[in-house]
Amino acid sequence: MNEQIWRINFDKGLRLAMLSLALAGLLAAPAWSQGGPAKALTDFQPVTYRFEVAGRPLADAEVYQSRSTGSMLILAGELEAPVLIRLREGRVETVNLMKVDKKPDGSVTLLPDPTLASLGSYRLTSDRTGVGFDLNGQEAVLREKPHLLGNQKLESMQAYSLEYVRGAAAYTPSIPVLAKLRSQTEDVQVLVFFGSWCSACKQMVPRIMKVDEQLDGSKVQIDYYGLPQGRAFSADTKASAMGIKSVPTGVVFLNGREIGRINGNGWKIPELAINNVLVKAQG
Amino acid sequence: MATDSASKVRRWRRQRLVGTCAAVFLGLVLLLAAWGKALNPVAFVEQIRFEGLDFFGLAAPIAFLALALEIAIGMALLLGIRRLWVLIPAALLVAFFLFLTGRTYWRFSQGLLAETDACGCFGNLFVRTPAQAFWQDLGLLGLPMVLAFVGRPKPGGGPFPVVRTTLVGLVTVAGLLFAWKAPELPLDDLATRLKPGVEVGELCAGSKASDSRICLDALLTELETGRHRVVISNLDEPVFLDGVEHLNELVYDGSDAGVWVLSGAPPEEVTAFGWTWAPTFEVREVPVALLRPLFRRLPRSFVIEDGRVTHTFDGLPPAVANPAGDV
Repeated sequence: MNEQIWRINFDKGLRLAMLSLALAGLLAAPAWSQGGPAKALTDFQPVTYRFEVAGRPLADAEVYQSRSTGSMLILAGELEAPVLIRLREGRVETVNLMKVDKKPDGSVTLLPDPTLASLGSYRLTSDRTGVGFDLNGQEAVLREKPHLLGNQKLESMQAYSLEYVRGAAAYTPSIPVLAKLRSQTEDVQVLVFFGSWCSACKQMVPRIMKVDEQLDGSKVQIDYYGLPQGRAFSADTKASAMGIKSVPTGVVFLNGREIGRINGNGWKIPELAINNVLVKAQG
Repeated sequence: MATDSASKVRRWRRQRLVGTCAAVFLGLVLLLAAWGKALNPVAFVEQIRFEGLDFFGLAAPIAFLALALEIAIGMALLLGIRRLWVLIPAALLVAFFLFLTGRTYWRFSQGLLAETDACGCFGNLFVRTPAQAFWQDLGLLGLPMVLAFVGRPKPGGGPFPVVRTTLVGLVTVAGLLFAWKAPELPLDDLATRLKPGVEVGELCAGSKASDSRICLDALLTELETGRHRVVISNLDEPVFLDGVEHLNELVYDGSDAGVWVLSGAPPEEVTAFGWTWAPTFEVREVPVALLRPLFRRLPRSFVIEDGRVTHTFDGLPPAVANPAGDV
C-alpha cells in the first residue's frame, strides 16, 4: 500500500518535474535560439548618422550606438516604434518605447525584458557606408551623414558631428598660449582644410574647435573648409590653388598674407602651432 | 735611387693600407645593410616592387639575388679580396644603390613622392629622409668604393684566394638561408622600430626636421596615459578576423586597459568593417608610412603603459591573466 502511494507520488512528481522543465525550455527557447541569454542592451551613446525611409531622411531621427552589444538604436517621431539593429546577430527589431530609458547624460538604456518584434535581417548598402532593411514594406537605410564640404564655421562643425563636440570637450588648450593669442593686435586667420571622412581629422580638428571657442572675440579667426574624398580631393579648386596635399592642414594668414602652415604633429597642440607660426613671422 | 725606391714602396704601402681600410669599411656597410634586409625580407621585396625593379613580376627572386650579391661582395671586401672580379661588381652595386637613392631624392624634391616613402639601402630598420639616404650612401658607399680601388693588387698577381672565396660562398648561402627563415623567427623586436622601451612619441613617419612629421601620440593621444593593448593589422587579415571576437571580449575583461586597432585601411574600408563586425574596440586609421616599420607580419600587437611600449606580441594580444596583473 505504502509502496503504491509512494509510486503514485513519484509519478506525479516526475510528471510535474518534466512539465516544469518543458515550460522552462519553452520560455528560454527564444533566448537560446539567439545564442544564449540576451545581453543587457545598455550604454547607447548618441552618434551622427542619417536615417532614411523610402529615400527621405527623417529629420528628427536620433541614432544611438552601443559598442558593447554591437547594436544601433533609432528613435524618430515618425516611427511606430524605436528600431534596434543588432549588427552582430544580423537582425533588425522594433522595441516598445516604454522600455527606452533616456539618461540625463544623453545616453540611452533599454530597460530589462523589452518586447522585441523582428523586422528581419539587414544588408550592407552597395557603397558599404550603411545598412538597409525593410521597414513595413519601405526601404529604410541607416548610413553615415554626407561629408561636410566647402566653407564651414564652428557652429556648422558642431552641428554636423557629435564626435567633434565630444572631442572638443575632451581637449584642454594651454591657457598661457591662449592668452598670447588673445593679445594679438593684428588680424590672424587660420583656415583649416579637413575631411569629415578622415580619421585623423576626427582626432585633430576638435582640438582646434576648442581653441576656436576659447578665442571667441579675439583677433584670431578660425575657419574650416571641408574637402571631398578620393579623386575629388585633388579636383577641389581651392585646395589645389593652395597646394593642399593632405588633411588636416591649417593655413595661417597674418593680415591676409600666408605666413605658415600646421601639419603633422603640430595638431597635437594646435594653439601652440599657431603661436609658433606667428612668432616666426612677427619676429 | 735607393731613396726613390724606398719612398715608392712606402707610398705603395700607404695606398694599399688606405685601399684595404676603405674596402673593409665598405664591406662592413654592405653587410650591415644586408643584415637589415635579411631580418625583414618581406619588406625588402615590397621595396623592390615600389622601386619598379620587379622585372617579369619576380620581386622575391630579384630581392634574394640582390641580397646574395650584397652579402658576397661585402664579405669578399671584408676578407680583403680586392680583385677586379670583386671590385667591378661592387662598383656596379654601389652605383645602382646611388642611382636608386638619387632618383628617390629627385622625385621627393620635385614633389612627386612623400618624404616617408623613401628608406634607402638599409631597409625599414633605419629612419632616413630621401636627402639623408642619398648623401649618406654617397659618403658611406661611394667614397670607400673609390678608395678601395687604390692600392689594389695587380691583375694576375698572387694565387686565387680559394679559402677566402669558399668562406664568402658559405656565408652568402648562410645569409640567404637566414633571410628565408627570418620571417618565422622571433626577431620582430630586433627587426622593427617597435620594441619594449620605445615611447609612443618615437613611433613616427617623416624626419625630425620635417613639418609633416607625424607621430603616433598625435594620432592617438589616449595612449599617452594608462594601459592599452594595441593591434596593428589589415582589416581583411584572416588571423585578425578570426580574432575579432577575442578582441571584443578583451575590451570587457575586467582590466582597465583599452583595446585599439591601428590600420592603414582607407576610411570606406574602416566603415564597412564597423557595419560588418560591430567591434567593441576602436579602429583608427594610421598612415601606412608610420605603420610599415613597426611590423614584419600582420597582425602584430603591443602593450603600452603611460606612453611607453612594455610588451610586443606576434599576432593578437593574449587575454589578461588577472585584471590587476601583467599581460
